[in-house]
Amino acid sequence: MLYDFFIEPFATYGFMKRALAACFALALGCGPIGVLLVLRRMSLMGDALSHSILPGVAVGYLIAGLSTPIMGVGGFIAGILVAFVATLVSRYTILKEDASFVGFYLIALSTGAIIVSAVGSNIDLLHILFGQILGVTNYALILIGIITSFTLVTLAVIYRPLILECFDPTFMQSIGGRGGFYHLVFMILVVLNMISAFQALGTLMALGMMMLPAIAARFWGRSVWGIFLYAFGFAMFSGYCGLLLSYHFKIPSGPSIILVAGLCYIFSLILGRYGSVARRVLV
Amino acid sequence: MIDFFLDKPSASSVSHDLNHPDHALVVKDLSVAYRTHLALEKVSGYITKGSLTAIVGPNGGGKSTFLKTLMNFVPSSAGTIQISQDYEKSIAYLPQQSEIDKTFPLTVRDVVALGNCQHQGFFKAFQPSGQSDIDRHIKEVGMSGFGHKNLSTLSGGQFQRVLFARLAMQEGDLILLDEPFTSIDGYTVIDLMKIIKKWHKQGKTILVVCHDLELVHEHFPQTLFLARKVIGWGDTKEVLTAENLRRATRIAHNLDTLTHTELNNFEESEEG
Amino acid sequence: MKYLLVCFMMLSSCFGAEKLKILTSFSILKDIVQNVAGDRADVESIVGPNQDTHIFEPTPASNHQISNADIVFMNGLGFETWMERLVEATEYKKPLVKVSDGITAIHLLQSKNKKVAVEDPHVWNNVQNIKVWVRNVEKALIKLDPEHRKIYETNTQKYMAELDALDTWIKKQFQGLPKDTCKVITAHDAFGYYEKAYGVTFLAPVGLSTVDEPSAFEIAELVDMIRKEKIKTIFIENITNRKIIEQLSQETGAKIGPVLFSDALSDVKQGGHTYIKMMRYNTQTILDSLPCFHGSKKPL
Repeated sequence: MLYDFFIEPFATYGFMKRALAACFALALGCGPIGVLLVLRRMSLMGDALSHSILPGVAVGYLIAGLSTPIMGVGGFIAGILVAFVATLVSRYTILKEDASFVGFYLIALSTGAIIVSAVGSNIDLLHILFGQILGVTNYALILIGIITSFTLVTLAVIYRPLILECFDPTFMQSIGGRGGFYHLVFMILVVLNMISAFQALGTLMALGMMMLPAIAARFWGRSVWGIFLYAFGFAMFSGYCGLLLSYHFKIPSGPSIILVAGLCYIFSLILGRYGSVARRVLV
Repeated sequence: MIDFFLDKPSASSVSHDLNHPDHALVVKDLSVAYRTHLALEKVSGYITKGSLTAIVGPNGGGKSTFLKTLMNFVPSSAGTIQISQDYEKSIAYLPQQSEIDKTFPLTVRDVVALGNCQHQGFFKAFQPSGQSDIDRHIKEVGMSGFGHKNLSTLSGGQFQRVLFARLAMQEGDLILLDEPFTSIDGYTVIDLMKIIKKWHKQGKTILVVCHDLELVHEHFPQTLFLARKVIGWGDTKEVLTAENLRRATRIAHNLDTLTHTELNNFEESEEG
Repeated sequence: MKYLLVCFMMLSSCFGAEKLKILTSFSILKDIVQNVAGDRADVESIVGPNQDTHIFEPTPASNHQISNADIVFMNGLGFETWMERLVEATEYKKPLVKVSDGITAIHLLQSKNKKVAVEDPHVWNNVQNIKVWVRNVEKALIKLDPEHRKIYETNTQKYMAELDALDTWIKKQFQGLPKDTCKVITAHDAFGYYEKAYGVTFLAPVGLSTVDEPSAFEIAELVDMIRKEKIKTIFIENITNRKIIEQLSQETGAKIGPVLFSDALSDVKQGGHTYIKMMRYNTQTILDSLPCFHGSKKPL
């Protein structure tokens, strides 16, 4: 009975297995990235990025038609450009990261819309590029796996300078630490993970799985690695439960996964170990 | 273009090639302009190696700017700074407690360990000797037992002690402290002053921006009195005179309201 | 007297030579209207070939088109959700004809779970419904331009004959094939009328529009169905997202079939650029994929 409910759907159907594996890879790769975005106060960047990639996707479509890899590469280039320019602006003008990102993502989005309309077609390119957790194929899974591994390795290498840059940028500068460089590497990782997640799973899933577990984890973890682990845990839990809900109760899969993640967040907000509502009230 | 990401201002008037037996740094006619006003004007003088100097002056007088210019964070508009060759890559700087994110999930040990990055770089693994260094410095600032506490649980004074421990880890020979005692409780000030004097005994060259003139009289042999210009630079007894204080107060009242030329005219009229 | 007559004839031929400007909502309708109007009109379409009318967003070009039109034809039944807004925005006051008036619509549930039934607008997949379109178009054109009723009637008669031949041919292809094994999978629930008219069963994991999101349960059901019915081919249409279909294909081993044209005509290269060509192509493609279909029937 328990087996039927909790295990059987994944054992019987390949697409369920793949969806679960995709959740695992996404939790592993995007979890730490999401945590770092939250710590850097860039939580809304993911949303801005999902719109910024449109001009790149449109140009990719112009060049090669409905080819997902080419559109994906175009999107990646556009995303990196926006991230790069917005970061420069936030470092060298009075604007901070949130304002500079908003400015450039709006420009990118409207440029993309104009390119698309010039092509004359009304195909929703982003809709075509963005995937669906239930539509993850073996090829997409391998791609996510490669990007996740690359991300984890790179993060492990640049961990110390990146944390320092987030925590005390003046100190970083005073020891000649080249904080800007590590920030840029981090940005590249963010854009890479997001594009791959969008392609495989769609924007709702990708952003939801990246940010909600990270936000929830903030209430449980004491050290940065601790928060990473909690984020991974919440993401995996959400993926698993969401898929089961979609299977047994016939609700769309992406939203149900995000809903579980959202419930984890609310739960953490109220009852988390550090800085939650309960802690404030009881202390 | 890539310099943007290496955080170097494009034109640098700070050189690290001073080859003098006694001088730690030499400043010649240094002027620093912000967009709307002049922060420092024709500052000239030197710091002796191994000296302990307080930097005092009214608000807006350019004290923080002076340190930032030494660190090459702020470009100068005229003049030069020469720092001794011995101190290249051995400068430890503690800014005012502004840009640090205290809610970051790090422990006291993590923060102190970061001091190591200056000479070890980011990618070398921690030696066991490094671990005992951390413990030693934590003990020296009176924070034994706090090693595994999160930053968010620390008071202002405790946090400042931790930053001092990190500074100690850096093992810098030239130490620049920008208002380290502001908003800190009295006991911590005493303890931190003890540490500074210990560093002084070890032969380090130290500059401290300080507002507490009693503290300066008591502990600092040298003083640089800045009110946009150099009011005095030398032995504390000779610099912190009543006359200088009066002069600085007058300038302070007018720093915001007068422009550069007006201020010059005002000072000349005062002197005359 | 003779002189006056010549002038009169010249004048009337001047007026007569002026073509009507007709605008239709989408490409399939454009083809039908063109067949009825013949040389009497320049027919344009707001939504072009291979484009998705469901998610279309009018542009200034659309505004321009509708402002210049003498008459506008649309399908109705909720297909062109943007038309009302467009008419309002351009203050279009000339005739707007819903060609599907008089057709008994199929009601479909948006998805298996919802209790709300909507009308299925894809009426053109049953040739008999196109004949209703043709009658409505003929009536409207005659009302607008009574002088040339003879032309419209002649064109209509000719085209009706072609449609009848098409209908007969399609029915013949599916005659004699065991109904319960004639099952086809497509990505888009657009073939309800085809199914009713010609006896092929269409299954689709997503609802009428291209933006519904399926649940794991529905996909699992479809996987089971494909395996049970031993369906060999899954069709994608010229305007939809491939990902779910690819997933089904990977799961069950069924091949992805060639494109079926459901909501729009294709361009000339693809061979479905008129209504009749489109229906013939779709029918042949479906036939070739059915496991119950052996050998090929003669094309029309």
